[in-house]
Amino acid sequence: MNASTETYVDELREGVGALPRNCESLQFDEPWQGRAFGMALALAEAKTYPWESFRQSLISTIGAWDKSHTPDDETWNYYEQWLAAFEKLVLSQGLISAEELDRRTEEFQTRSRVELI
Amino acid sequence: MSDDHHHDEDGHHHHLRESETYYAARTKALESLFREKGLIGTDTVDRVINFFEHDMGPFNGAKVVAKAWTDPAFKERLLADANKGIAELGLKDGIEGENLRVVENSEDVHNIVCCTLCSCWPWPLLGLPPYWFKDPVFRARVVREPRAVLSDFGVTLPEDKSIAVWDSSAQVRYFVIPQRPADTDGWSEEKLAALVSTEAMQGLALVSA
Repeated sequence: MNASTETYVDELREGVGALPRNCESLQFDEPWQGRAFGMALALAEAKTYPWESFRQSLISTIGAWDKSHTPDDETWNYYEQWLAAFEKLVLSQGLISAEELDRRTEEFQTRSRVELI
Repeated sequence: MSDDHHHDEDGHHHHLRESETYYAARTKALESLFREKGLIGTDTVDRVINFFEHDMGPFNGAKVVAKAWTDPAFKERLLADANKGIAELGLKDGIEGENLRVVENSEDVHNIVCCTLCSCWPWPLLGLPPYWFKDPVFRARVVREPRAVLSDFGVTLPEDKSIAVWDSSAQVRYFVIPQRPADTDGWSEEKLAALVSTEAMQGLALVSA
């Protein structure tokens, strides 16, 4: 370890949990991240959209974040970017509408919808 | 996976950020709508996650490295055409596994992989990308000062060794064959594979026996 640099590894530890030095397989901090990840792949597998469309959406979403934040901004969360990219894609493809998505989100938030997911 | 999801929602709320409730609900709303519209089945997402947990992971990449270390002819084929090479070992490329390119570390050159645009990563060989690979600080620094980044990962290279930084993209996803550690003559592929970390296969760690 080089002590002169404010060690990079320590930077990564802040707020986001330990740096996986010997990563196993999945790296989800919270369960919704796994669901968001799986959905984006599942719809590509089902040929609902080409995978490349999702990838482009992810690149532009992360690109917009990079432009408006400094790299060490603590609000960075990869799967929030992932989810935002996924939402943008499915809304722009007309697979669901923004209204029904907002309504259903609220139903889950207020627990007025009982559906096990 | 469904179970974990459920428990977390009910059991550990107070540990999580306020926004967790929103993101959890948002993700559920999306999945609920896709199920309703028949775009995905009730077990589709579980199946995808399960596949990534059990069939895709750094154990695949480690197998490729061990084979390349012990079989020079295989290594040549792998360097010439990585997708054909891994197919020989029964590994599928599939999503995010197209257009692989293998680069080899040597006495003269050390290769590091990054993706400055987003997080292109050879999933079939390494599973999902670890946190550091997606981190904006890493993405910004690795191209500019690879030696400093390496040093923060605990790797110090000789001054005269050159460093090549490869930027993965949809067109090419890079994978590194690290240098085989000394004193491993006669080791089985299985024993060698156990030495190889995810970081080593992207040039952020060395392999030691």
